[in-house]
Amino acid sequence: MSHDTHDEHAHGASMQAYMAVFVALSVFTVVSFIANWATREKHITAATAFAIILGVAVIKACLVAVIFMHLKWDWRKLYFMIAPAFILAPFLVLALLPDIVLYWKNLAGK
Amino acid sequence: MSAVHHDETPALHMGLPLTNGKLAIWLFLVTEIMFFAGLIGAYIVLRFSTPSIDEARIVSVGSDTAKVYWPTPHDVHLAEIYGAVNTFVLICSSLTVVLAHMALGKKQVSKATIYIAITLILGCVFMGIKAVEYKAKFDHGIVPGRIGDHLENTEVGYQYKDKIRLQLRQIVETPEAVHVAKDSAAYKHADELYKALDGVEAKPGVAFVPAMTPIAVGNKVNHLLHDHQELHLAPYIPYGNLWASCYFAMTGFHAVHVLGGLVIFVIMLFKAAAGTFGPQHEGFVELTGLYWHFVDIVWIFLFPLLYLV
Repeated sequence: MSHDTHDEHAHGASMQAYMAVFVALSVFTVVSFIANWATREKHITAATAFAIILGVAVIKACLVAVIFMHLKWDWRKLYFMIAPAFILAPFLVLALLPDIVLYWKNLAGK
Repeated sequence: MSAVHHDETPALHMGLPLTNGKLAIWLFLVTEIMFFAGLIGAYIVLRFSTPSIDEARIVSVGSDTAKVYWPTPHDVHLAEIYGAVNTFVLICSSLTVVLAHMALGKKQVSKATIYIAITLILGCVFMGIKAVEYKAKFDHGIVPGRIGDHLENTEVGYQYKDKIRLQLRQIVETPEAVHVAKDSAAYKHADELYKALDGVEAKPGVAFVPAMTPIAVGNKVNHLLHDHQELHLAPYIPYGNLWASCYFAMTGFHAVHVLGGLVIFVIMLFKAAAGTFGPQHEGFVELTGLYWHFVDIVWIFLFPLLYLV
């Protein structure tokens, strides 16, 4: 491992940071479970639950990527590889939406 | 003069301020992101092109109707608790793998080995729960291509009815081969459906009973399966084949990735057993950890998409 100035934290976060992320991930998992239960029991709407559950998933993924995968320290060296994937992946879905989703939505409307 | 000029020229770096291994694993992970984006993207597109339970369409054949919507987790025997426990298991394993890397950085080899062993065990627990879930899918006949679907379509519907006729005949004629007791309620109900399937021809003294439509068969089969879990009949689940294909493709490829990680942890433990595991493997553990966390992230998305939303 090279030892230039950027690599001061090459070994990653402290024990406390790792444990904090672990606790946060566990709590977020419970949150999405509760949101799912609440929508089944009609306490919140399906759209609200969807937003909560998806938001929680994104936050969890970011926590894992930033702390566990050390992107907090490596992002500046790697963004040029990771960013395109995150641009292309949504486009993959968006490109298929008009032909499949909108087509069927229109059919269902008729 | 030339020496001064030489000093002013900044040294040119070759490549990036990263180890080759880290660059390589990230390149690999980026291709993996696109791989899973394809699978998850296909699922999202299919999911949004079908009505959810609140906007179900009604299809009918004759006077028999069925509600058509994307299956809810309950419809396909998916229990959230398994998914949630597996999420927690993978989160724990992500923690243990970073702790292993940290311990190795402090040259605490035996501590790192224990963390790797715990990671391996957690990975095995994940696979075990996955196996229980897959078994439940197979037991309920939720396998792509074997589910009754689009029964309002005449050709597809009567193919389904033919399949059910064969399955019922097997239960009625050789109940012991399919583990159904001949004096059980399940046998009795299966026999009733088998006889009712094609109606009764009108004869002197015998009333005419029309043959059942595919949708009526599908609804009846679902009732039978609900009451008698031991019967193995193709369930009627609208969009069930599509759902099952997505489910097995996504969770199957994810499970293969978990398996790949487990192989690497086993290799580490072999090295540890041979006494050759040490601080020189810090990079190895870190890169394996990066892969393992990626597998965790994929599950973080699969869990809500399949079990919750």
